[in-house]
Amino acid sequence: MTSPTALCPECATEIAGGLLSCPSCSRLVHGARLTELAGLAAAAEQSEDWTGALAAWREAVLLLPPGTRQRAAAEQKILALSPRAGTVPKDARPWWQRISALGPVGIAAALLGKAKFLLLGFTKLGTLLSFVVGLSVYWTLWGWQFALCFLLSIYIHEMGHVAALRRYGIPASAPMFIPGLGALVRLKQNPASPVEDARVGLAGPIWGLGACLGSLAIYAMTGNHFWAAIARAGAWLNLFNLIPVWQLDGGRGIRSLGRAQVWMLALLAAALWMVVKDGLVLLIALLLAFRASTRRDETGDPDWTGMLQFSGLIVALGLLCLIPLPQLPK
Amino acid sequence: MGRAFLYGLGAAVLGSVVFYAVSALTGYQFGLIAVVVGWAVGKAVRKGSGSFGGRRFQVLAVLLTYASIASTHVPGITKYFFEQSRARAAAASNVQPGSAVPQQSREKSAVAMAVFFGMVFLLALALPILTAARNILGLIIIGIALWEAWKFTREVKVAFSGPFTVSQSSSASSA
Repeated sequence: MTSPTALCPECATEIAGGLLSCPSCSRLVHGARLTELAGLAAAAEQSEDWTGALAAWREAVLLLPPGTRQRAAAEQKILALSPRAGTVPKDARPWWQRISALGPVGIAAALLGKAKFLLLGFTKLGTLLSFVVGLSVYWTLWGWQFALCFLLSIYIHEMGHVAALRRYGIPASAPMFIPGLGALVRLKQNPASPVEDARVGLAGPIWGLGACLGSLAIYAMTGNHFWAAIARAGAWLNLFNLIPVWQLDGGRGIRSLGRAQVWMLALLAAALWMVVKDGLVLLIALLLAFRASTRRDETGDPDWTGMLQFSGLIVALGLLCLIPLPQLPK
Repeated sequence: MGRAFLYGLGAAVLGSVVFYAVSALTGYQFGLIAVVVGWAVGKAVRKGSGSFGGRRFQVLAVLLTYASIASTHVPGITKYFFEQSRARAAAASNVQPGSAVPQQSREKSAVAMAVFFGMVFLLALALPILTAARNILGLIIIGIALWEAWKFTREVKVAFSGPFTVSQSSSASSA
């Protein structure tokens, strides 16, 4: 038997640890913090800081008892704000004008900001330690150069997820590397909608594709096949993540799509398989067809942005798996 | 215990089939499937235990998971031995084509096949350990799969807190 942690200020009932409201008078345990969060969210919405507002409402949801009208209202707020997350402030100028207006210093600062974000994960001890463990395992198999670059491409993939989660104000853990399996980021709260889930899910492969293209660019400039191998390995790994099952990125990516859209993706993957002849692409095509055939018809607007992202990723990553590698001497 | 074993065995057999089917279809062996097998066997054994879990169910889940993962080597080992056998038979054979096999030989052959597959299965169980030094990644993946099975079949500890004093509700400030 354990002792209670608090007394209700209204009715003096002993409140067990973990309860969100008094069992006697239903007074909210975290009332003061909830008032503060509501103020923060209102201020953030005023300044069109949708990410800040979402983060405040998501914290509030965790402090409100399920089934209450306050919690339902907070969840509605999250659903309403979610589509606006990540949108840039209204600016009528064309993109090239906006970028050139930054000037060389501004552009450098923006790039440094991205680089700083990428380094953010390594400030977490768990990420750093698991990275070192993974590096030591892969080093014994592939040598330190390949192991390091391969792990960095996985890291960039995971930071893509982290960036999307931050944009939607969803609390999450730092990336953790698991040798043999890749890495994972744990969500501390579920996405509010299928669209949000899909955006977060596909953000990883999108960033991973960027890393592959970067490696390919270095290969094009230097002719060093090492970078071609890194690009190809990264492409295969990101393509693996697009398998539409369970908690894999592909499984999340199709959540916002209608049945017809998933069928279209299946056909696209099948057509790609005719070209690349990779077993992984065939597996993705078959599983997309399975998911399409077992899908319930859903109402709501079809998510064409998600469809475009998914199809672009399948094609780009599938084609990157065709990168030729030299025969290694026996 | 019997029900937990049956549920776990079903999940283990299904896991082996999926692993082998994906491998045959794609030419790849995905370590993640081994982890999913551990998860599935753990869930199945837990369900069979009436959701109570406990040490004996954990051991059962781990053994079934390991057997499921190791059994995926059986087709490869079998193929190897049959190919070796055919090669030896082709080199030394002087059997006339179309000759009938005597009844006694067929019975012995059935027993021999059963013993053969039993030994192949035992070899498959030992293979991940025998090749540990050359396949550290495989060992790590098996370890994760076994951990998943162990984790899901933990004993449920029911914690009670209280008793708490409930005062008369004064005003309704309802949530």
